[in-house]
Amino acid sequence: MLDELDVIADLNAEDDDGLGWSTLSDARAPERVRPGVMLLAGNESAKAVVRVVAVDDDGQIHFSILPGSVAKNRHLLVRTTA
Amino acid sequence: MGMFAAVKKRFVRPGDELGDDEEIVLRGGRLAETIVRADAQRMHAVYGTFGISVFALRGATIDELAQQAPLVRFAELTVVTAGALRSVGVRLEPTGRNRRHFTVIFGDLDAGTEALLSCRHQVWINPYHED
Repeated sequence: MLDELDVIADLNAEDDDGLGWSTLSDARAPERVRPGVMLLAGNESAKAVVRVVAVDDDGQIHFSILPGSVAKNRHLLVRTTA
Repeated sequence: MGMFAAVKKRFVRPGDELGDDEEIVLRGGRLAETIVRADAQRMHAVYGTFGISVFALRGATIDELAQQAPLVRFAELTVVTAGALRSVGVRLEPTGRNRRHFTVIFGDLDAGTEALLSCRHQVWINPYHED
């Protein structure tokens, strides 16, 4: 399950503005993580398609969580190759 | 890019306490040691404290929160009272601008994880979850 994730995240975790968050060090391809990109985020407990809202200089990623199932939102994940 | 050379200070809602020992808080997923430890360590990397996020009902029902993000993304929810958390020695801090969001603060990663896992809780199957 973890192999397909773009970023490991605790989907419970909220930042001060109510957004989800993780870190670039938990991202499979940190260079892909930028505002506006859709990623598959989560861990062994849960996963979700999320939209990256901001990436801070310290490497903290802020994202909004799409409430729908991964199956319904998977088409939003655009896989790009470097 | 400086990766967490300096930790961030969280916004803490002044005077906001879960005073009622029966107040219910929720967390998505089961209390599994590997996940709790990893999540607490990630929080420490950014905010300088070991802890995990939970959500207080504050007048809502479990069903209401369970069908909203982020909890709808979990097939199972852990349900615990604020009093049960306090009884095992962890602290609830009112963090962020969402009045339902609290951080369970561990003084120490090992002791805090062990305390949390020993906390009396229930597992609630989330009927609103879809894979």
